[in-house]
Amino acid sequence: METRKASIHPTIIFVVLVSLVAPSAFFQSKNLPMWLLGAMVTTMAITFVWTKLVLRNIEVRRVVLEPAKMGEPYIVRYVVTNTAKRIAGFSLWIEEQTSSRTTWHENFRKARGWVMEVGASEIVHGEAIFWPTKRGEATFDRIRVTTSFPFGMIRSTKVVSQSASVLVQPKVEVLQSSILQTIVSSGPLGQRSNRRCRGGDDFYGLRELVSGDRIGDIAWKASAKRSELVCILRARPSLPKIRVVLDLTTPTDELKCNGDHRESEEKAISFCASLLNEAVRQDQEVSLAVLGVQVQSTVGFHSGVRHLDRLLSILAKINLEEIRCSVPMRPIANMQQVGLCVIRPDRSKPMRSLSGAWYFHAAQLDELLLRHSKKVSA
Amino acid sequence: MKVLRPYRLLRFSLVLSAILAQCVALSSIPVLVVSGTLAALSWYVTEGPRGKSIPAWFSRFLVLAVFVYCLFDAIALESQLPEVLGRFVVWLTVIKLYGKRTVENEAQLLLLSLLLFAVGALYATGLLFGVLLVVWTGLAAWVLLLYQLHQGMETMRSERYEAVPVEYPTPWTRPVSGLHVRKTFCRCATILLLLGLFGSAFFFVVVPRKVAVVSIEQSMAMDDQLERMELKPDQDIQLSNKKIMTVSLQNNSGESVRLPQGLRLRGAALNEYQGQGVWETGLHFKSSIETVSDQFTPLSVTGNRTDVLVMDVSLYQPMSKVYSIYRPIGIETDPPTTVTTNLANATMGLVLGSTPLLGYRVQVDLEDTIISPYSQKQNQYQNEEVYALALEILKNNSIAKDEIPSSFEARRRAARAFELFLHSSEFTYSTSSSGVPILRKAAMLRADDPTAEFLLRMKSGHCEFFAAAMVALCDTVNIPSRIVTGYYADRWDASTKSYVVLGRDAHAWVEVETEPLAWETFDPTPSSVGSPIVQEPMTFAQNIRMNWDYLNSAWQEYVFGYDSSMQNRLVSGANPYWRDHLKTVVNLFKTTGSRVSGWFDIGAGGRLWIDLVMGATILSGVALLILRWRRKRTTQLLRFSQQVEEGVAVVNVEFYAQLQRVFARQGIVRPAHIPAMTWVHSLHLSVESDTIATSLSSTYYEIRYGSYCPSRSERIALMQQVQQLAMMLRKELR
Repeated sequence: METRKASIHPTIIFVVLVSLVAPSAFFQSKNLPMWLLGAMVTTMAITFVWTKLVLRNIEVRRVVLEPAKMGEPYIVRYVVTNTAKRIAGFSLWIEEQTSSRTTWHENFRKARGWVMEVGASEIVHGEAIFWPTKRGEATFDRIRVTTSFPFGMIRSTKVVSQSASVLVQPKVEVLQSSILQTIVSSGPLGQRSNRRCRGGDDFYGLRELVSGDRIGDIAWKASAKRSELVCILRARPSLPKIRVVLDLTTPTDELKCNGDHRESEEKAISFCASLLNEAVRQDQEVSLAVLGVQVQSTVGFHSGVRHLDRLLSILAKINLEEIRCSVPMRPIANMQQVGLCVIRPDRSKPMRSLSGAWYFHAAQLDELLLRHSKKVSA
Repeated sequence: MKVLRPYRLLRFSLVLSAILAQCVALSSIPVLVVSGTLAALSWYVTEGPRGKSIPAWFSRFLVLAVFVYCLFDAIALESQLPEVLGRFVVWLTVIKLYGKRTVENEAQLLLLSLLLFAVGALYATGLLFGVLLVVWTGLAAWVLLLYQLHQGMETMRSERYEAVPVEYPTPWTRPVSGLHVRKTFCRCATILLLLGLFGSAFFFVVVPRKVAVVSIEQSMAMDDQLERMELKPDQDIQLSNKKIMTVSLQNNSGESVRLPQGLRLRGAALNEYQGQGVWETGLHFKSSIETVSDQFTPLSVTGNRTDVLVMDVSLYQPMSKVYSIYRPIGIETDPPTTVTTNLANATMGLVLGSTPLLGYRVQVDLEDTIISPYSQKQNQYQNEEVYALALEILKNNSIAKDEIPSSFEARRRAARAFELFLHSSEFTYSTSSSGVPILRKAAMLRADDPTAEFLLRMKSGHCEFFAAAMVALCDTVNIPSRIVTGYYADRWDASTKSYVVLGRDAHAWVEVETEPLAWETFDPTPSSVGSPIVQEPMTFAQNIRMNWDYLNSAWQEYVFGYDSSMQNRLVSGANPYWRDHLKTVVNLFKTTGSRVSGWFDIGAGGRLWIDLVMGATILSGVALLILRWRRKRTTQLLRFSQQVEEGVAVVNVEFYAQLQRVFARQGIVRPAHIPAMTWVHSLHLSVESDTIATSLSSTYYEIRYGSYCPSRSERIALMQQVQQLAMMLRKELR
């Protein structure tokens, strides 16, 4: 992690300069140094008053809309309102304050937003680019607005309280598409229809009428135009299904793997997220089961971005500091017509109840990455 | 960004002007040429996207070399340590100009330019430095404002690039700003500059000072020079166009008067010859007079008060010598002081140690001859060759030497003969010794008597040589005479109807006792070009120079010479103004009160009643203003709109405004878009604090939207709850 260069505070420089000029002004009764000293003191006084006046009329509001993702920059927007009728604010630095009630500093690198100018009675939107460093839930509390404009000698600060929390989702890597094809056999696995649930109005298209179709399914208007009977397609081939099981039942210090154990667990979570992402990308229905920790352990089969977000949020909420509990097998017992894969942080024995499943461990993630396969082929 | 476009050029100009000012303070043209050229060249080398810079190690080496050079300089010129420091900072700045253009380097350059001025201010005295200082201060303030924005932008840019790894390039976007950033910046900067200017001027004027001892010493030293004259053949006279004083003459009816001849402003009279070309004031018969402001104090020198004029003298530098034309009969100074008159030669001055004057008024009686009772000399000039020359002149003009002691007419004729002799073509007026052959000049320098050398061999010199020569001739034949030093003023300024006296008008002439106790003026200096008695109209360049000198003297007086005495003068000048106005207002009240009591014939009791009513009216007015202010403050804080909130009394919701202020002191400000109750719940306070805050918020809702109107005791209870919450918050957030 890079560190910021330490610079001398402008107030210190100012004090040193004043201590150089003041003796010759006062003790030697020299008027030009006195003028310079006067100018310096006046600029300091102006800076003090001006910054206070500006900040008095500045209101800041944080806008956090979506969760953050590991490995991607996260932009936090700030709505800066200047309620003053005449005074404009210049060079406003906006940053998040850390306290016992905040956790964002554990999840993100420090970042600041800068607003060059906000005119009288104007609203501008500043932004700060945060880089996520740790998965989990980050809480924000107080926003600190700082300015030292006009002359930079004195810095004034205003703190605004606005609680918010952001989920930092695990890192999603791009996996080789063939993995899922290996886990789930290709081809239609049946029909998906709402008819079982007392019929529905789903519309997937039109098709020729075949014997056995209900009269209610005939599309009369379309049939009239085509001079042949067509009926409404109310079912479609069901999507391939995959259930991802993240096995975190083994306590961290009992894992059998090289390197940092906690890192392996994080990698396993990231592997899981990547697999889910790839499945959704390939239009497959996915489900997630997390074993060993207190989160929503099972989720039904669905596809789509919103579902993926939901699953990633579950992964984001996993607290690895918790005491691991025993495996509840019942939720994952029904595995008919489902590709099943179990991801573990370490290489260990397969579970008896999931004997037909594909087993992965965290270290395999690097091998299954898309860019890795390209490198090998090259 | 348009607003930051001129930043680089302005920053460069700022540094250049600082270097220029330091060179002006050092009065060093070589340093100016070399450092100025190098600094100007740096623009083409370092600025721009392809700008190059010298390596860090090389710049460190250069700094070390300059440091060593200046260290040797400092050891050699121990007394000029600030100047050496100034030169060091100049070279340091030039080296820094060739450094890499980073935000830190730019800040260091700005600091160096400030240091250049701070060091220069230690020893610079000229107006040019002052002008540069004023210009630089304004420019520096503007550049500093721009630097704040530039530094913010650069820091933001670098932080953005550092925030994310290299593989995720984040494009730099324009800085976030309002709609009219340039216009707003210019307006703000102008306001700030004006505030800075007024603030620094106020600080400069108000901060207590000591008495400027240096200026008094300088002026005393300058005045002392008048009491002693040393002829130096190798010394050239610098003809200064510096304005010394203006003299206006007014007659009894207050009209300005211009005399047909020039004014001879007498400063000192020198009659004793000390040898080696040195002439001094001999006898001191001084009497002291205490002057009074706004009134002429009579002087001991008296005369016929027939043709009385008032001579108003405004000095452009403080002086301890009082210059006057003949014959002064009264003097007025402001502030009052003690004036000494030397009865031996009818000259005036201030008592040693008193504050030099910047102006005075002298009542004068226009008389041709000067009454002065003392003519004895202790040390007369004696020289055989000069004596022979004097006898020859007397012989040529048919004047017998024996007549001189008894006949005043013979004295006058002899003096006239000597004057005419010195006016002859044999003698030339010159302020420079460059035209004199080297051998002759060397002989003159070797000689013990420069007066004789001038009179007999060199025959070229300035007014002091001519005056000394004539007095020497008079002395050898026992004619009482003396040299008078002062100014000859014949430069009339029609716009101000006054005589303008410049430094070049300093003159020396001769007074000879041609009647008992009466001294007549003779001027042996030929009226050739350059002579003080030939005062040509000033050319355009001379006018400019004179104006510059005027500004310079104003700078010296009001800025450089600003001291406690001037502060006192300012205070005393300001006091009567306020006092008079205050008195007028008080009197107005008194007369109005007495009129009212007169109309109604209400007596003392009635007057007391009126006073009470007036007092009550004033107090209630103040109370109303305070209430109005509080109401406005609360409505602004709670964002009341007059149309919607007509039914709600502001005093009822004041407790909630106070609650918001309590939170604001802890850095928690309620955003405008969040309802009061939601905001309180979002604060995550402790149970007790939360209960109070929630209860207060619900009461606020009831008052504002539920037509609830609390009684006075309830309002007090609500305010007490707010205070309780404030204490709890302080404990919680400590």
